[in-house]
Amino acid sequence: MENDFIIFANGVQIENFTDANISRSKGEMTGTLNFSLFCSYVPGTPVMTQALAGAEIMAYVGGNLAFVGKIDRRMGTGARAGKPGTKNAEPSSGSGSGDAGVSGDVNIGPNEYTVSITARGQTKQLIDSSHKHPTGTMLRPTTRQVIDALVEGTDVEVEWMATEINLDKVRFRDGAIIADELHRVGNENAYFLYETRDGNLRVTDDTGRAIGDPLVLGQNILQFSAEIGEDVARGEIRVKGQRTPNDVWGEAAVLDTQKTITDASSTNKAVVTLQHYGDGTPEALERRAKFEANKRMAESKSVNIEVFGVQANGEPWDVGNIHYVEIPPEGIFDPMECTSLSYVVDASSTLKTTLTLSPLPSGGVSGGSSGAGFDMPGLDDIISAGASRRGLALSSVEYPVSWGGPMLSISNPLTSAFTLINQLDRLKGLAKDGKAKPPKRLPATFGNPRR
Amino acid sequence: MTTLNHFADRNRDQQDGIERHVFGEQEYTKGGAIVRVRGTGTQDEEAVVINQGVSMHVPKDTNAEVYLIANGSDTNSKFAMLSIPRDKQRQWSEGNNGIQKWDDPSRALEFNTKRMYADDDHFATRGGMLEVTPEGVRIRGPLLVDGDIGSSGVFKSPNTPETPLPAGGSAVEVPPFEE
Repeated sequence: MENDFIIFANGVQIENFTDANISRSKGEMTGTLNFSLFCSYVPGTPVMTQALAGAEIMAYVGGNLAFVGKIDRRMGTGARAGKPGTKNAEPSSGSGSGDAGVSGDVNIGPNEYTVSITARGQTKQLIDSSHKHPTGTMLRPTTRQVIDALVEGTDVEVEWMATEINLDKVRFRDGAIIADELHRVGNENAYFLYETRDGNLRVTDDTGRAIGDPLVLGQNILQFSAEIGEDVARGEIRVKGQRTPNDVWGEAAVLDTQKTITDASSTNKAVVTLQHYGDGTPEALERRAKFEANKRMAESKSVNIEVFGVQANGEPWDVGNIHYVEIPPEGIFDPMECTSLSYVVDASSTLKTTLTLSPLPSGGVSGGSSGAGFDMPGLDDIISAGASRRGLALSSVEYPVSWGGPMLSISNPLTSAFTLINQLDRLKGLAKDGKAKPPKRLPATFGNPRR
Repeated sequence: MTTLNHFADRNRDQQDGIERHVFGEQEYTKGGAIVRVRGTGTQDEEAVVINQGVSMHVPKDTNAEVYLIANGSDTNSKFAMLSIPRDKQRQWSEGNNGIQKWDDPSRALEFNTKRMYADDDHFATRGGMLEVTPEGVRIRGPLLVDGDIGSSGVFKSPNTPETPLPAGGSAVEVPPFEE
């Protein structure tokens, strides 16, 4: 069961596909699913008839829901036996082009035949569609209201896991696609937006706040690669902005509206200056600077690990999960966040599951402290246990170096608390009434038809 | 969102187009007015003031916003649009327009639906030929009237009505005009 890879199109199980792959990541708004069926003959009638462009599609890996979306394209290709492989459809990209291209196109070749299907996740609507806000302006909204307004009219549900922030005003660009406007709001307010395995849009300023299996070399790591660099990280990040409320103007709005944070963990002392959009309150500028530092640190340290199809307890791997990672030859004994996940199954029925993990974001800035991750229960214990198992002191001049998150400090710390409302909502998700959800766990009655 | 170059909006992370600053100092050169403006960690100098015939020269470091317009994508060449302090704006009645003193909304030349109205108790033409003050109206020159002259008060003259000009009278003392 753990290596089963099962696909449904319009509720009907797709049988006998030859290969398939799924990928989702924190960096892409939507996931992708590609699969194909190869025939060593030219069938007399269409095959995989449920798999047509626009069909709703779900995939389960190891019995767990792994993908919900819609088919973008179906391509049938004929070729002569012995010629180079049949033509594959262009794979979908998570960043998504809006072009539908030629859907449902079928070309029958001489004596071999391949059908290739490409699909994107449920949130592809956000990439394809312009926003439908009636006026383009929202006055005194919260970030959650803004995101709900942008998503309204699509089938996408928002899984809200972020701190809700009061804004002065938000103006959407007329005709802009939803994803671009969502990214603007996300960037300005330090939110990550990505698709969950059940097709929702997760909005978080944190990790997925779930702790998964430890990944320990010699126990459950099949393969790994670990890359650490300093070219993306920055030692100093300055964010400049302006105030936008009507009653804040002139010098109060334009002068000294900046925040500078330093990352002591970065060996690259280069400076990056960012222009902040929206109301440049001290809180917003600091939040933006911290967000940039966390993103850069995640890019600087990435670990790719091939694992078994599911976790030891049968739970699925997932983007946003925190795992303790122990790879002694790299000096890694740290909790990390899964930022990308891919499943690949080939013609030999071998399932390859790969996780990309990055350092946890730093939650603390003000007061000059550093802190790995937000105040999540149990995290400190994992960090201290990892340090104990490492058993050697880290040095800045000799490998291994720290695989932890950025160590941030600010020269002019905030005295006021961040604007927080509805803190309890951090762990709640929104549900749209009346919408049937696919089960997150597939009943055991479904076997793998490919065996 | 973990990628650093994911969407086109990232190109906003540079200064370009129109920028918002506050006033620094203005200087008149042979090439017209130029300003220095203040910003957060920036100080643009020699921005050419856009002048469409209505202009001003506010004191150094006045708290007034200035908008700089880049010459296309060339940030080396910038033009400035001056504005007065936001809290000094005259509140014009609907349907009216005009010009105000930059730091005093009560003093204005207003075009309303009935007339052009100088909303001030001091008004003068060059050299004080015509001057209006709270004390009265001065005319420092000949007054030529094609029609009748009337008065609701007493007509005063250094010459008595029985003594026609120019014999017998003395000149009325008209104070000099001060700029």
